[in-house]
Amino acid sequence: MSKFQFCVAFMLMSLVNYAQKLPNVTLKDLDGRAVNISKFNNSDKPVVISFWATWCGPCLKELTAINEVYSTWQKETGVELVAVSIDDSRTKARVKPQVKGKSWKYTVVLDENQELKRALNVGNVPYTMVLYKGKVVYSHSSYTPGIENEIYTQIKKAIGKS
Amino acid sequence: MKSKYLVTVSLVVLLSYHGKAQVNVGIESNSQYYTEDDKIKLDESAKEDPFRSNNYIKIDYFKNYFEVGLQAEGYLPKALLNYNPDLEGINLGTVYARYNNYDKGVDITLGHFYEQFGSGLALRSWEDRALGINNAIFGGRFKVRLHPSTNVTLLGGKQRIGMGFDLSDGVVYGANAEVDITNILEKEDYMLKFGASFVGRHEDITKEYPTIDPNTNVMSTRLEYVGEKLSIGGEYVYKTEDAIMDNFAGVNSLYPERSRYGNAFLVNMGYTTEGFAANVNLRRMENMTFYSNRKLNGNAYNAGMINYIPALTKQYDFALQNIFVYQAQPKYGYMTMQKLGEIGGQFDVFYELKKETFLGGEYGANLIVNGSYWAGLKTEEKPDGNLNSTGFLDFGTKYYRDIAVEYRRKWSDKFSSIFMYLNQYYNKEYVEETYDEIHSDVAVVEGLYFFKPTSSVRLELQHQWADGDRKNWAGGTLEFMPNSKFSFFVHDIYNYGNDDPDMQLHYYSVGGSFTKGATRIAASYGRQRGGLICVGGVCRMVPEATGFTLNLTTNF
Repeated sequence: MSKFQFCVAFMLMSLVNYAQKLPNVTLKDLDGRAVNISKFNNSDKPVVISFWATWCGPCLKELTAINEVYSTWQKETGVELVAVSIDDSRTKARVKPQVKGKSWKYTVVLDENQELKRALNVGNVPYTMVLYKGKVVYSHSSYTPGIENEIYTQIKKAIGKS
Repeated sequence: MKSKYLVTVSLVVLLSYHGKAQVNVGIESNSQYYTEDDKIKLDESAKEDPFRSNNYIKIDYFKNYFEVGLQAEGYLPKALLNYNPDLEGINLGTVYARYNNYDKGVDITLGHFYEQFGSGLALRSWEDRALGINNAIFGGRFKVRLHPSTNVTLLGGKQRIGMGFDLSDGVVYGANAEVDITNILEKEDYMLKFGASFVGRHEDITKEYPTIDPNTNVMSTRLEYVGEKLSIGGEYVYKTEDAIMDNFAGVNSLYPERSRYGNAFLVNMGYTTEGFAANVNLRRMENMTFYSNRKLNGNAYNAGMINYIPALTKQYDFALQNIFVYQAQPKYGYMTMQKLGEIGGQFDVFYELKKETFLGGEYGANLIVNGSYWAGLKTEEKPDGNLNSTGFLDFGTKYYRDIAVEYRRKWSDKFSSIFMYLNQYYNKEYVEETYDEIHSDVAVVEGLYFFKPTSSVRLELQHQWADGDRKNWAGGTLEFMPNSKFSFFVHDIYNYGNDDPDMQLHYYSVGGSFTKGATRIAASYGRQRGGLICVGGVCRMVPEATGFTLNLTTNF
């Protein structure tokens, strides 16, 4: 390998590290326990981070659509979906009833003052990211019906199972 | 040749050095071009600058435990209509440096920061661009984990009230402690937490008003229990005595002879099992407004708010459900209207209808019922002219009431629908301090049909029957999503019931959006209904206007 090729390869590698990973932000889960989001960087399974709110109609549609196929996704890829609610103290009390009332099986965390949303520069909800081994391999802003198929394709692609 | 080699090597070194670091960039731009039509006119100042845009770029640099970042904002040539006019030009919005080591439990920030204590009744600084709110505190914050169960936060600074370095006169300082009691007791099957906060504001106005104490303090304690099915939490907040700022004929003035303490009680209860959940929130508060500059009390731009007092009502999805939106009533008002606070509550019930039942159908369905009731506190005038509440549970004038039923059902792999019915009472006279009271009913039906897994069409139809304000409305939206990147819509709400035939307006809009990865571009043309735009219980007035809108968000 020539020096030039080596340099190019090295540069590309260092560029890959520019890809977003999850920041050191601690949020609470539905039982009030602390969850440090950066721990999902160390997961050897794919992780989906989905920002939502109880007052966001498209978010509810997206998470409801994924919920129907979630057990299949988990069986085939081991994926874990972390649903990050950005409900603040006005609507926070509605998060747990919404999740349990719809029998969602996701890991749900509360980003009550939008600390994680801000750290990842997320504009509006819904906003979905697919991570594998600490790197963001796909992100999608807003919900278009059927996008769950695309998300699943990206999950499988990330783990080389497509 | 050698120099070329050196440049390459140094570039590689630099890049790989940076490779351990991370840079995140977020960009948002919201523009509007305001035009007039035969029905909707602009005022003179709006006509001078018909094109306006709000732009934000946020850059954060992370390396190991260190972070630095800034947000620059540009209001070009001016901020969108009805945003705070102090948002002007291009300038820094926020800038900070932070050391954040989770393993050691130490987090130190200098510069602008956002923070919330408990539910926010004592302190919340945050950003909401849609509402033009950024009340970040510029100063220092120190967070430490003293024990795996105990976290403490100390902070102090001045609040951002315009651009990044337009700061409040008052200094805000505070402390917060959270203790996880179950962690100390080493219990796993439930969670019990205790929290306490102190927030002080120092604003010395003794030159003008020698009798007024420069310091006003807010204390809060709270306890929260989360069991497997049942959860219950409560918070008590006390605000020390301060002179009242009140608005009379549009002018905010201080009334040193009227001075009062404030307080708030909040109770949340929830019960959840698989497929069924219910929750109730109750709140009573008096005189809980708290601003970093007293003279900002009740300002239309929400500048300088230290605490966060959301309306505890459901935030509805559809346009006609958001014509009468309740706003929390924390203030002590005397001049225009006698008010001391509010009392009331809300409830929600979520129920998952099982598959293969009459209401659940083949695919299952969801039923949601919610409601709320809010009233003023019953008051009496004391001999010194101050208002007092007569009894802890004495309800005064009714401010707002609503009850809604929502039924979401999937009929087949291709078709799903939502039915919603809302009945509400809105006391506009008291809530907005104007006149009118309204009873309204809103019915909504929405259907979503899939042509292909990622190609769909959505139709929503709405109607509102109202006996006040602008009377009846009808509306509809048709949205077509040919694939997961594009979306097109036409939307119209028509105020056909207006008593004045000339005011029976259509508020139509057409537009589309393009999404690719983290980038989203949306454009539309049409009329916007003037009035309150509310997000998270905080509202902003928007003017009635016609025009083009362009929104862009991206990050990398």
